[in-house]
Amino acid sequence: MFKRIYSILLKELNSYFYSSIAYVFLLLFILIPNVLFFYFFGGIFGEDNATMRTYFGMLPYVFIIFIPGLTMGAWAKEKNTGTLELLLTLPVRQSEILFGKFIASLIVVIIALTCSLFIPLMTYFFLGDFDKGQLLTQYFGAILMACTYISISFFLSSLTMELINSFFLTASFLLLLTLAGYLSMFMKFYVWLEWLQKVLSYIGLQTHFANFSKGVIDSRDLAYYVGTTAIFIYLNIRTLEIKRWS
Amino acid sequence: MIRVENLVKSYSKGEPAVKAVTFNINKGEIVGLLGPNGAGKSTIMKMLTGFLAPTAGKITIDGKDILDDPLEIKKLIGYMPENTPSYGDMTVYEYLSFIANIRGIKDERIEESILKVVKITAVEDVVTKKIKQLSRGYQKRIYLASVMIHEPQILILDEPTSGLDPNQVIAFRKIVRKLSRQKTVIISTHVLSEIEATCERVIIIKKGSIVADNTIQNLIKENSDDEYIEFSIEAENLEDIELEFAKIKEAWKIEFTKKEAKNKFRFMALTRKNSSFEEKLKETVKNNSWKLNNYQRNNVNLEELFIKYVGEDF
Repeated sequence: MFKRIYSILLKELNSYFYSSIAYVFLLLFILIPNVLFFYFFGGIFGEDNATMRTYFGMLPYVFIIFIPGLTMGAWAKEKNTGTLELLLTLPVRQSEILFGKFIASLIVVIIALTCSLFIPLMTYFFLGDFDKGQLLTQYFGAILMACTYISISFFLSSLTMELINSFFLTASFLLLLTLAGYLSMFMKFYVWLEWLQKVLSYIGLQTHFANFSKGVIDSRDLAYYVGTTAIFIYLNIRTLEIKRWS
Repeated sequence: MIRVENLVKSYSKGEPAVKAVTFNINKGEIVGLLGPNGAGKSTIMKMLTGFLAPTAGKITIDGKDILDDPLEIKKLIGYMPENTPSYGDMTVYEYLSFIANIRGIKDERIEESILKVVKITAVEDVVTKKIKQLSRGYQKRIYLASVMIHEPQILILDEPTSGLDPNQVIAFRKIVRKLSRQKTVIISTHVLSEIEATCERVIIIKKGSIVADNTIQNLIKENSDDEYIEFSIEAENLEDIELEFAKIKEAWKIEFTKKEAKNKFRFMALTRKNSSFEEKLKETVKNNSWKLNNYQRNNVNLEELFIKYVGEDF
């Protein structure tokens, strides 16, 4: 089983790095958050202490565009080139194909996060002493959040099986979940609508990242990201199976 | 070895693509699935390989139900879809290595397996090239190499020679014939020469149903009472002839084949040897003041048999 997942993972990484997708993704991912961080949010000079909270605070919004851009071809490209038929007639489980693809996308995101952190981290190394525990928590939270975004993107890509549709559908859905969280944080709700505020707060993608970005690991946030990822991975496997029967 | 019982596949719209198809294929047989485009051949193959699930019916391979044990059954099969999709950015070696890994070939045996199949399919000279840089003929051979890498007992080839030039077709058939000595082979095609060149038995499919299933010799023997007639008609225009011929019920089919000269048209007809077709034709010719020339009677061959079974769709 692991050999099959590993083979799919290598094939996916090959595909990302042979084409320009991974490089464009990495370049934009390094440039855009850093430009925003340094020029629009004040960067390191806007903070009183050595923290990257502002930087990590941008990630839920940055991911709305970047993750669908990276993963829109996950199923659509396989379907368009006919290689989905090749994969599904090989002795490999749909879940193994999915995990291989999922891990490959996550690796690209982790590389992007690592490269992207390089500039602010270097600056902090020279200018101040930062809290390593907080940074690790932020990093851990960002990876967990990326897992959720990737699983949602994969599921929606498997529904449409079309590149552009997949991108817009996923970006819109992620935006909707983010807006839900945004509303819960910044809108005032009547007392009788407090349940709605709780629901919006719970489904909001970025609300669960707020604690991680402060350096706090809350089991509810952990459960949200792990649970949501698991649900969308399961739905993705079911979608592939249903398509085989339809 | 392969048992297909009452296999049905329905898509969301329209009538079923495959309607209660039943057949058995024994170990070592080379069987051709023949039928016009859209007859359901590819759908049957996709179900045999586990890519599509049947709406109803049962497929057992080597005694195992494909729905119960898909992974084990997929290990027995080498499947080549019609458009031979592959990962164009990979080199031939990388691609074959990827397939070998997924197929569970042990690391120390992968290189040996690759060398063996590239030799059989004669693609040794391109192993370091990217697949997308290669001709269609090479891509088909590489795909064939990839489906043989795990030494499957069953080869399922969907329209294996479509898109190839005549030299590539000859080379490809030679490889398939060589392979078929040790394996069960199912070839889907709508090309008659493909069947004649490679298959022992043919299953003819029309609109999702089997209309004939036999060896080529037996099919010809079974239809020895049929004949294939060629003749020419001299008349003012083709439309009038076709209108009159539509009224002749003594032949299964009368078809215009070519224009021999101005106002001279060649036809073929499929009919029973003892039918009154000739009398009826002469009567029609006389009533319309046409001329009948070069009337030739022939025994049916494979081509005419398929026209008989599949009709005008073919």
